[in-house]
Amino acid sequence: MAFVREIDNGIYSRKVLADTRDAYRSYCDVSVTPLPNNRASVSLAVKKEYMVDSRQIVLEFWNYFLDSACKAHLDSV
Amino acid sequence: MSDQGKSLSEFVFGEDELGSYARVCVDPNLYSLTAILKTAYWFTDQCYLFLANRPPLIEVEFRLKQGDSTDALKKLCGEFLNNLLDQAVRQKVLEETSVVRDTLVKKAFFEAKAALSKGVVSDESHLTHEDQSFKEDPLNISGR
Repeated sequence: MAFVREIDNGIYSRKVLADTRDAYRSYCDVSVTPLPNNRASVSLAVKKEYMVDSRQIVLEFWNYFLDSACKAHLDSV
Repeated sequence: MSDQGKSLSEFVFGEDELGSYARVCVDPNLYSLTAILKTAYWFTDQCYLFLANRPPLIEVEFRLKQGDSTDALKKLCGEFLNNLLDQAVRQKVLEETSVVRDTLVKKAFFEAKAALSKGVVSDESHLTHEDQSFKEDPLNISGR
């Protein structure tokens, strides 16, 4: 089952997305489709062996992503 | 996904495959992106958050780490909005006082770094020495 969300690269940058994808590589597969207006569609597919904890993995992924995005933004201002 | 929108006008509550959530909309013209991100950063240890840019607003989605309580979600939204206001004021004060703050820091560093001019020598002839008693008064302080 894939969990899809649309992001704005002005908040969630591409660099941070790459880092987050790398951090969660063991738990889920992440595919990204670029969209117009600096947006992207991010799809998460939790690996079979972790399906029991899929809610936690998906939401932790998004929290980690947001946390890193905030840090990156605040370091740049 | 379903948006039930069954509570207060400021908050939207709903449920999807990941469980219950609450959403609030924030106006980026009123609260800067920096203030929103700073506030979100503080909340990521308490709950799961997601920010979606839906011009002209930014939508903030909250989910509990444990449980499904609507009251707890509502409380989180309220706390988030209070903290956001707090951050926005801090940002504004920071911007308004940045010149004064920079000047003070520059002055402090400049004074600490500045070397004494050549003519300035420390006169230590009046410092007390070990065999001197309090009864001695070489500067005649008691007579002044």
